[in-house]
Amino acid sequence: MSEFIDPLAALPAFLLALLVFGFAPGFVLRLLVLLYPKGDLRRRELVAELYAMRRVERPMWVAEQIETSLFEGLFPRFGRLLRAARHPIRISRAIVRWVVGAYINDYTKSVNGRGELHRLVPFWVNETSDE
Amino acid sequence: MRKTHALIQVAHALLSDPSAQHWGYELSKTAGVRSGVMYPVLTRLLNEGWVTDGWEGEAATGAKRPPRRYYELTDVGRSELGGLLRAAESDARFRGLNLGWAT
Repeated sequence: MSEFIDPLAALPAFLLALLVFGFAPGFVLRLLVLLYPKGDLRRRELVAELYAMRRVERPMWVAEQIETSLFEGLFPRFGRLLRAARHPIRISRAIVRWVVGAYINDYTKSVNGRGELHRLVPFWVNETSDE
Repeated sequence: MRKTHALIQVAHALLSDPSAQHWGYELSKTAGVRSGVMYPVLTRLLNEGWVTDGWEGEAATGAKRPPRRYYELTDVGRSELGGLLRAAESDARFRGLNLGWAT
């Protein structure tokens, strides 16, 4: 009978319960939501849902989220990477467009600190002679 | 939108209280759908504009936990999902779902 009430015997079980129902669900879920792209609302949503449910349900629910985060978070990320790797020409075209666009069309902040906006134009274009 | 068992179950759960705000966890319990299946369904519904989402206010959470994301049916969603459920009622594929339909 004494072994049932022995605090030393109960300690590992208590620590295990603390780990499974207290620390682990939040910790594992926070790692899982990192699979979602940055800024994805699901990151905040899943963490918020965890703290709204009963502690007893948390471990199983977090285990379910492995599936959710793999399919909604990780696979789309891989998909984007694969698509990008399959179309290197598209990437290089996008880079060229970005560089040229930034040079010719984009407005950018003046570096003189006055916050004025001015247009960057290529050296061969004379803006005053447009009319 | 492709009609799946999960979609019909989530639609049924949403339409059980069409004007209420639904939470992801509560919705998965009511619908009887695993969250791994339900969240992608909700994403599809959001993309279609059949539900809108938002975050609960500080007053509701009492600052004890982070605010949850809620889902609410739009007018379009109410009519579209209602139509979907009516169609599913007569569809043999969904007869196995125990959604309280008269047989």
